[in-house]
Amino acid sequence: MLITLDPTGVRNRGQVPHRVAARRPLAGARVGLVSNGLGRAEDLLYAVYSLLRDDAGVASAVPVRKPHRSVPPLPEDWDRLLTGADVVIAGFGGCGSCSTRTIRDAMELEWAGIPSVALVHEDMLPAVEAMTRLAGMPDYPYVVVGRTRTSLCDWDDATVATVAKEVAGETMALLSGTAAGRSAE
Amino acid sequence: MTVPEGDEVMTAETLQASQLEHRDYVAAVEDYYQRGWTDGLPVVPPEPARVAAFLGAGGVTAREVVGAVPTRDVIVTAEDVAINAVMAGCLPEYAPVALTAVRALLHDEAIPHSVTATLASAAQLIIVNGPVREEIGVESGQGCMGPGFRANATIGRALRLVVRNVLRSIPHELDRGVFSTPNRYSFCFGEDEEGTSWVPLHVERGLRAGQSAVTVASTMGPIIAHPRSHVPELIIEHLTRVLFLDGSLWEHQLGSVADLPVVLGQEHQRFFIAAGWSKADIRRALWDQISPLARESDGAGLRLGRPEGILLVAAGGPGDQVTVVMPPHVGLAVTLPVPARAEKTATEQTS
Repeated sequence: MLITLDPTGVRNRGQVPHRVAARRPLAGARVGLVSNGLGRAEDLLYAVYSLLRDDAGVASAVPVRKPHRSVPPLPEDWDRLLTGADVVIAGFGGCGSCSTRTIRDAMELEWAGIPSVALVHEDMLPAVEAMTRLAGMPDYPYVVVGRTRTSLCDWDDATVATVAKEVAGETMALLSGTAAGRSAE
Repeated sequence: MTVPEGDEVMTAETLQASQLEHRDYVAAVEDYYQRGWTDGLPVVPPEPARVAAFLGAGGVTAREVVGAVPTRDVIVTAEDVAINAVMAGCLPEYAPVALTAVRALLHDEAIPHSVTATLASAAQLIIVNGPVREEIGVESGQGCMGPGFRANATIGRALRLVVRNVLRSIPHELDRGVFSTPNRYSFCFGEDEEGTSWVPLHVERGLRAGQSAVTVASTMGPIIAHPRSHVPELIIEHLTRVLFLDGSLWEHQLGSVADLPVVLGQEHQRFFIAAGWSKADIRRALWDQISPLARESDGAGLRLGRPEGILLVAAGGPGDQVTVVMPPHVGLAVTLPVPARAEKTATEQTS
């Protein structure tokens, strides 16, 4: 008989049970826009915000640009979000490390009490799903941009506007708690 | 079995990882394949006694935290490194180098989450400096980047098995590398400090001569450049063209400031040294060539940041005029000292 050891270090992952933040109507909400700087990410986030302003009555934007696509917001920007945003949209998750960090940004903001949504590309879904599993929230939802668009968000103005229209409805539903599979608390 | 300094005696009984039972050695290897715990090659079954011996040689306890990737809720302990290093085929005496390599990759400046999840298929290059190269047999001369050298092959593989098994960077899941790269099986070599009069890499980066050190850089290379000239300025020109054609130094979709390892082969070392050029001279000349360049399509400038980001290394064998440039992914190269080893291991004592 040969005895060997598990190499995965899984025992180190003391998983704390996490909850999503309570949802409220979006009218008057201050919307954090957490950009990772990938391609036209900032433009996309602003375009979605503009649609939310017109359709859901959100009040203002709190823009944050991360120093790198694969890291959290800077501590001072994190504080700005916690004190100045009622909901957050994070994006764009179009590469391996940006998609995974984007979904993590959204989850961490949920844990801090801010309803959030990540915009990610369809090609990155296996990585995004791995991240939600690792965090103990395998059913945490996100908004998907299909692979008819390039994943690196290197889009022209018309594509940015079109994608924003495509994702705005689901973004609103997830942030307000009206999407299927997630109820307002 | 060896015993580290400190008050905890490292034995197989003090290990924390879950144990598995197998009928025999072959069954264990097959089971690790089935569980997805290999890089596609067979592994050495990590028996508790082997893992304990590795920890003892490294002078660390099982629970010592080597680093973390908070984005993934992953904490890497010395025991995790030891298990994967044994699987990779490492001898216990490789422990200080292998542990230091993992520490370097998990340094914040290396942005470990990015470099192990990326589409860009970055691999981790490990460069070893100092007396530990001779002590454990890290090859720095002819063929040093290829197969055939146990220390090079297994230390590099140990790092990548940690990336796979502990950091969970698995193809079709968290690892999104478009093609990935054979450099991800293992990529480790030493600097040929004895073959050159130049200042070694780790000394240029602030450590003392005589200190052993490990530098880890995430790279999308290597690109083998063949400047045929004997004239330093023309060699620099050729390297500049190679770098510009590759383009990754000007690719701002990659994001952060990066470092650029450049490994000069013996023939090029000879031409530069004969002309009186130091590493600092080469760095300045290359910087002067590449820093004004901007990409034609969008005017993007260099993301190298500073001349010191050019990491010059002497290595390789004689016979061809070859220099290897390592297009950088993101994050900075991290150089850390290798701690002195706890004591001679059993294999050394019997050899």
